[in-house]
Amino acid sequence: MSDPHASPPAAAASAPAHGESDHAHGNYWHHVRPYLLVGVALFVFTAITVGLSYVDFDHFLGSHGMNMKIGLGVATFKVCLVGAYFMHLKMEKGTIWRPLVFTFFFCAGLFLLTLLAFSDPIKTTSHLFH
Amino acid sequence: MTHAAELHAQPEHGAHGHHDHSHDHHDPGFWRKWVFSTDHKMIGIQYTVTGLAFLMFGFGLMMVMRWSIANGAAPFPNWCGPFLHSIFGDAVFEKAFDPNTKAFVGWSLSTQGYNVFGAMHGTIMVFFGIVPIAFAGFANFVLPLQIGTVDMAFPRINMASFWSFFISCVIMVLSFFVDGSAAKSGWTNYPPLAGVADTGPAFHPVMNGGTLWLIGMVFNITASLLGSINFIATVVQLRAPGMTWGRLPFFVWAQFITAYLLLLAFPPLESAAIMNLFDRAFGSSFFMPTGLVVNGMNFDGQPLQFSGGGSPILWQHLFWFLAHPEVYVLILPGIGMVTEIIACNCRKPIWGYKAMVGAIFALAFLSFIVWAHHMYMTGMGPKVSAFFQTTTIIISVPSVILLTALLLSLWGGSIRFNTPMCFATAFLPMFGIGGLTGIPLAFNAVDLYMHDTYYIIAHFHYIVAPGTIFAIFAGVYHWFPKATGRMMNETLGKLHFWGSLVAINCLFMPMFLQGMAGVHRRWWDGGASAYATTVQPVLYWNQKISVAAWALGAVQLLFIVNFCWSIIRGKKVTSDNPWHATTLEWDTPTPPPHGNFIKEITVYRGPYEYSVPGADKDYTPQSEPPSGASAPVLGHVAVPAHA
Amino acid sequence: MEIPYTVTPRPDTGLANPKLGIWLFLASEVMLFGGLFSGYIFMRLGAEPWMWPHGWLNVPVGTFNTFVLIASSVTVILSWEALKMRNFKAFKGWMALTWLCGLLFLAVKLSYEWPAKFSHFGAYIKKESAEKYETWLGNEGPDGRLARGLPPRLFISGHPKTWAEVSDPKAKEIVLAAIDEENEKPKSEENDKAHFIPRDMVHLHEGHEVKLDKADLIYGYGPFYPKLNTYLACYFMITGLHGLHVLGGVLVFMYFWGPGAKLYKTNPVQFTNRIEVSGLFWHLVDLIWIFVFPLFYLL
Repeated sequence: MSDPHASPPAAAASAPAHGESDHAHGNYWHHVRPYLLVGVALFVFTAITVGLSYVDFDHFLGSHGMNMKIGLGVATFKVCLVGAYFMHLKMEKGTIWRPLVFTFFFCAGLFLLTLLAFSDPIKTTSHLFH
Repeated sequence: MTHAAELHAQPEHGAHGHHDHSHDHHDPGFWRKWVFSTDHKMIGIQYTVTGLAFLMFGFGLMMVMRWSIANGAAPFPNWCGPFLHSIFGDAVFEKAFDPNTKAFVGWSLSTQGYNVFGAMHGTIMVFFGIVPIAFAGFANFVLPLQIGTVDMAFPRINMASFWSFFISCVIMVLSFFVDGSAAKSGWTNYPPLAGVADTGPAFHPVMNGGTLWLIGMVFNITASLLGSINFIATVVQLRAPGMTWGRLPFFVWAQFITAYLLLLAFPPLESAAIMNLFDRAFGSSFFMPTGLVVNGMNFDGQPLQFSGGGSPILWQHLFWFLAHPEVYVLILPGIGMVTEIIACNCRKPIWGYKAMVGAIFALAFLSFIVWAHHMYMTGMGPKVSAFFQTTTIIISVPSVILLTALLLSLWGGSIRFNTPMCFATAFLPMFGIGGLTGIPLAFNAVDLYMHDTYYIIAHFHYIVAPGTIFAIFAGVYHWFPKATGRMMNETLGKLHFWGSLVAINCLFMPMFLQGMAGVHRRWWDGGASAYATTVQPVLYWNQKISVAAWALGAVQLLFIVNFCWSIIRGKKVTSDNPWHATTLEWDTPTPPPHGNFIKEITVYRGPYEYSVPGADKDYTPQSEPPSGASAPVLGHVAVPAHA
Repeated sequence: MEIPYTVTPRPDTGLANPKLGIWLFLASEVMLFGGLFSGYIFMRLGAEPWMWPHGWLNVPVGTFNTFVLIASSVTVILSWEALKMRNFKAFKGWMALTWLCGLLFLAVKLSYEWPAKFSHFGAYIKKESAEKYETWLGNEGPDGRLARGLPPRLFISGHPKTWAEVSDPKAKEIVLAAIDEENEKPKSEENDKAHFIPRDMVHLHEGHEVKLDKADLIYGYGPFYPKLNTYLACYFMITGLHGLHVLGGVLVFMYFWGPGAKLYKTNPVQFTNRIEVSGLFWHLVDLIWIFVFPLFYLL
């Protein structure tokens, strides 16, 4: 992120530089509001994750592995929040996005193809002539 | 670009210490200049020289193995046996006795010693020879020059990367001298063997071959990752004005894609290495299956001392997830170098530049989803097998596009067959043989028979040995004048070329025959004592192949002599651009100083403007202003451009 | 000789070099932890049903650590915003909070979570010897695990009378002076659920201790070390490596808060960028924990 303040700072490190004073402070909290909101959201969803883990969804829905899917789903949502807002991915251009998209694709390939290999073994040998 | 921030003295930045940047020609002292340099050219030379040394070492290991393959347990001749035993010790060399008189007749390579040499030959050639030279070495030296910038994006990280690599080199060499000698579970390090080899009461918990191999690999991988980050950032950010993506020399594209392959593919191997280290150091069972019983190696047929529950196949998945993109890492820099040399020595542009760039993108993408074709024999079912067979066949297409484009680039060229061009031209059919013999292997039905035979060895060696290593030789002969200001000797170079070409084909071609007859890999005596009836008819090739290997080794002496002699006494170049090439690295003084260029670089045209109709010379450098401009072009043997 | 775009961004990419560099590094870290998580997936899928435990980790402590890490993610970005506003004091304050949170995370892990594992004893009983220990395993009978359609319990855990006999090759049996509730009341259905906090062990009276014959035990018995089962191997490996990354981040932040802050006086733009770049690394560390926490503590 480019920063327009390229000139040397004022001598006193403690005083706000460049003659900006209260305007800067008010601006600061306005600037950081999204981060605080996301931080609170992360706290809340962490608590939700813990709570949800004690509900046996498979029992209610007759499904299989639903707790895992919900837990990882919430975790993925939290990760997206951190990435988009804290890591400024929302504001980044293709030079950053493209390698990341490929990274996630290859990571998914690593998981899914290995899972496929484990779930699709050769089950029996052929006993054609026995 | 703004200079406001850059005018401030930055004590932490670069090798300049506290000096003001207007004084660029101060002497950094011996250590900062030759050892702890942050200059990309010095780091490139460090990587290349270290890599060449390891290439020779790995080759030496193979020459010893070839004796064992040709002659079994027979002792080494003359002084070789005692010499080798004195270096490598009892773990690897054992006494040979006459079967009748029981007298001591010499030293032979033990079976475990064969395994040690085999595993380390593979590891050293791939990770300590080819990648450091072709990727780290050449890219470090040439790439910043070819994009017209002053250094890499992160010079100190560059230096850290070399020293991490150097530490890995020390560890790997050290591993030969611990109890039990170096790693012996193959360069592929498959568990369960990789979890139990060199463990037990007779071995030190950390200073044993297998564990040191893993630790060395972690340092090597770290070096690669740091290097990859540097190359990608440099190409994206530091291209000179006018150097658009479409004007990049193909060498830069190749190294750029290689860096991405290393960046994304290496970490899963690092994670697998950490898991294997846990298995060895803490007794965990990431890769140790339940109920395994081991005989020998002090385990005495007892159930293994691991909790079980692990998956040896998981290691194979994680290993090959890297190792397949790794093989493209081994070939792409070579293709990049060959492309530059072919364009320069044919005096015409590369045919199909855009197709080649598209091909390496496709190649890189596909390389991440083909890995299990190395695992057809692990019991994978039809669905997953079909997937990998399909992607593997598809990946042969971009490889063929690359080879075809280079072959077509020769057509109609005014070819100068100097030494680099000889190697670059020979690369094409050699890589062709290697690549085409890989196509049948894409099918698991063929692989059922060919897996772990000498056919595989011949296939991949054709790609890396007369493939990449020839490309490396071509690159060394081509860029040696720029790095040192002297030419290498042409006569020795041609002898080196012809000798290598003949010897290497005599070495690897018969292996296809042996493989198809069923000779396995990693047999210490070349198959003489195993399955002798089925493979017997082809075993007579062993002796001939071994002789070819030793002849190939002897021919390399010509290269070593040429290289060392030419640094001191080679014919000095008469211009900064002795090959009359168009790319930016020839636009610098020779050798390039710190900061590379002595003028502002602007790029006006593509990288292969050779024999442009109407131009007054048969090459138009990328940075030469269009005719009519008056900017002086320094360092060229050229007529100033005029209307 | 200046390397361009070290501080000011290149116009067409919109990036300065360090930012691109750190994102590339983060991409490789994603692949690294991807490999480690694939280890977790395959260990879990490949484990026998009775060998992949639940409820061994203290959820409130883990949740607290999660909150600490999220808080530090917020404070690092607040410190960067303070720098952008050239408020050095606020930067110092938020940055101190950041590395203090990181240290707190490590302190909790290294002073409570890991030692709690190391001081606990566990042993898997061989299937053929399970009958001998039925009192504490609760598999047989009309209200046993097998009758209720559950996989058999083959694990006894607690506290040995003396740790010496666990590792002494001459000692043939191990005496447990305390055992976990799962073994004390093995047929209680309460024991089949994962619990919020690992429950206290039950102390056994003199003469009523549990005696385990070493010949009946699968190798790996002893403290909850990586060699006991693949769950612990994964747990220690992933939290260990994550912890090393936390430590690395903490050290970098302490440097920038302390001696490294000198750069602010001479080149505040570059210093701000350095904080942004290390903040990005810190957010990745937080991201990884966001996955680690549910996978190990909850699911």
